Amino acid sequence: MAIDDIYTQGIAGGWKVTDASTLKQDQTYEADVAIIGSGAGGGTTAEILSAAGLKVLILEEGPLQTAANFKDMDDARAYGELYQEGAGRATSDGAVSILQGRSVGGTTTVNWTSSFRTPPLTLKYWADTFALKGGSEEEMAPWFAQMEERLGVAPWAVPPNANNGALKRGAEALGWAAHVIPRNVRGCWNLGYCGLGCPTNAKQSMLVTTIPGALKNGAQLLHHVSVRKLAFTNGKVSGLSAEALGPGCIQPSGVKITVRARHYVLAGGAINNPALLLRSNAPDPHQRIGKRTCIHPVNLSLGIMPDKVEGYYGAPQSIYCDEHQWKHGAAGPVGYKIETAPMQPLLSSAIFGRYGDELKTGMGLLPYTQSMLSLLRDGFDEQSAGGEVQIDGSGAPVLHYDFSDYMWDGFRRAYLSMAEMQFAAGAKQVMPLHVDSKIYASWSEAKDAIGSLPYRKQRVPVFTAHLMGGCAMGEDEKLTVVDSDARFRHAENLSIIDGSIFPTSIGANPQLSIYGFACKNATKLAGQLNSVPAAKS
Amino acid sequence: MRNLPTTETESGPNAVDLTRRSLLQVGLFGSLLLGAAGTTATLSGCSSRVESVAAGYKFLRDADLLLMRALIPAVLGPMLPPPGAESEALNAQLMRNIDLGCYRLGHPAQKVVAQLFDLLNLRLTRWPLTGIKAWDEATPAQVQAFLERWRTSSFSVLNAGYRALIKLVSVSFYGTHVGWAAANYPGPPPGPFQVFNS
Repeated sequence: MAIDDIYTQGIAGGWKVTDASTLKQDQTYEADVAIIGSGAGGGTTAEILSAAGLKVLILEEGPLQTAANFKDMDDARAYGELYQEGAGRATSDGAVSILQGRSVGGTTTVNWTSSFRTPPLTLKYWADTFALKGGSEEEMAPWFAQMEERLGVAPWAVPPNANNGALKRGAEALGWAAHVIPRNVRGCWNLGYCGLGCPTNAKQSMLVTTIPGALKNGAQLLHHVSVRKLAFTNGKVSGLSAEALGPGCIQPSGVKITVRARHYVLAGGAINNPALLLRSNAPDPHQRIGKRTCIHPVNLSLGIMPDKVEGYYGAPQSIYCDEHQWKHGAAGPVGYKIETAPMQPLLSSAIFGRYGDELKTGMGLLPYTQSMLSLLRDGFDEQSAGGEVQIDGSGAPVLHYDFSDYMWDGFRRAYLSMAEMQFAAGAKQVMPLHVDSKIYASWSEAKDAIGSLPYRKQRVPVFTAHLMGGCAMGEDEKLTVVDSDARFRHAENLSIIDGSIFPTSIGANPQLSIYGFACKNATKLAGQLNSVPAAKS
Repeated sequence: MRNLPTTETESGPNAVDLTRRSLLQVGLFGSLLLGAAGTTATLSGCSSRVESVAAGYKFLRDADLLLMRALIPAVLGPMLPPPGAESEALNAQLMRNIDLGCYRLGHPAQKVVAQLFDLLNLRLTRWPLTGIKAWDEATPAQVQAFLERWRTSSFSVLNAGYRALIKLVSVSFYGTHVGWAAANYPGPPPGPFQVFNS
């Protein structure tokens, strides 16, 4: 029984989908709105604008891959083809590994489905610090509700897999609150391969929801295309230039693509949007583009359980613990959210970070290994100002990110919390993932060791799958790149609609925050564009 | 120094002439290379010629292949099959995976990896930094001693090199079925897998 990949039939029925690697000659496209990126922001925006009758062109750098590709459930194929830089993206000094999607659907095609509304304390912090308007808990509620309905977001009703079950057990043993994670799935088979692309279309990613919705509305999708520059003329974007990529989706094919539109929407994420604006010499009087990039820095801990955990099977994230997230409100010592990570071997070996006998022994215990991760809530304190996106001589993005003692203290406390929970859940041994850590047989031994580990770059392996900021929103023009409606301050026909507009990290997995703000901002944009007659081009 | 591929064509990647100067301008390992270059007028074994990608590869050069051949058994040693056809086939697959992993990196990361490999391949920098005279003569124990030296070094740039090297090799392995077996991973759930692939 082959799973319907949705696109084969859609394209046969007239959907306008073009693989730019097949183009032989330079092309010019015209549209009412050109959307750069097809992830959480771009997909949501494309469906809303096309439903409003606007002619939408979606430009996606990555390939179109569907359930027909995902049916192999193969980690090597998935990480190589569905992630930025073949999942090898990192910060400029290699200290932080970056997992970010790059295919039609963006990161939503490969994320782990956790769907949280933006926490009220985060929204309040944005209003207080960045003068964001229209973003209060009450004002945002209907937009979140609309997207939850669109994407089937609901608390996971199936018992957690053993990996998440251990998190629940450990939290409860310590008297810490643990809750069920809402997921964006319909008819989920509980397989656990969300990070490799959902083989059953159950995950309600942009790939199977809003992008098909937009295509049904007549939008055009062009994939294998890398946008190089926006042209800024007289306070407007006058066009964009792009390069078609070859079939491997890595190098340019040589075909040039030009796009002219009434309005442009950047939705390429918190690394690629600032890089595009910097390559384009976009007006930036206060030097804010690419600043305050927040990443929810992640550290991890492994627990060896007496029984099989098989963390590679079952919904990857279904339980979370916020015990240490908001203890001091939005401010104070950095808070962190504790969740689990799926344990297919390729990703596990990347986070394990050992060689020789240690690698063999540790990875050999994979079926018994329980994983916990902590997402540090960066960007809420002056000692945590986030990172900065710059471009190199070729115009490619480079993310610089440094950690202050304030953040190192957070990593140390997160290691402690995770190890304590793992022992409380029945772990025989715990290994905080640190270059100098060992395997510890008791909580007291682990506690002492974690206290004396060195806390600096390249000793604490840090990961991120949540890229936020770099084009902050709000009304304080000295601090922000876009206004509260996500309109770029220095060009009248440019919006930025994705996670890059968040002025801090979220304090929770960001996809539903992106959907909610995209829904609000795209709906307003549709009204504005439809109230102005199309200019003759 | 090496070519970094910049254009995808039917005949394989074209090359841009990235001179040593531009390669060394910035980057994690560039300063170490520059420091070494400062001690002598030219880097031996790497004057102004542009070394090309090894035949059948997209990123790795011939010198890098020797390095990888030494690195793979040091990182994976206890899990590799005994010398023979099976081991050779796996080795070739791992080299291709490593090559593809480097090829898929963006330009800034490729530059850093190229600098790291150059640092390990140039005699002038290899010996003082790794204690290895030649990769094709090094034993797995000697390579492990070098990895341990870089792991425990107080220079974070060497720690970064250590982490990059072991990650390149281990992810190239645990994405294969031999790697799955070494992790006691049974593979995707067989029932659904059959449903999707029948």
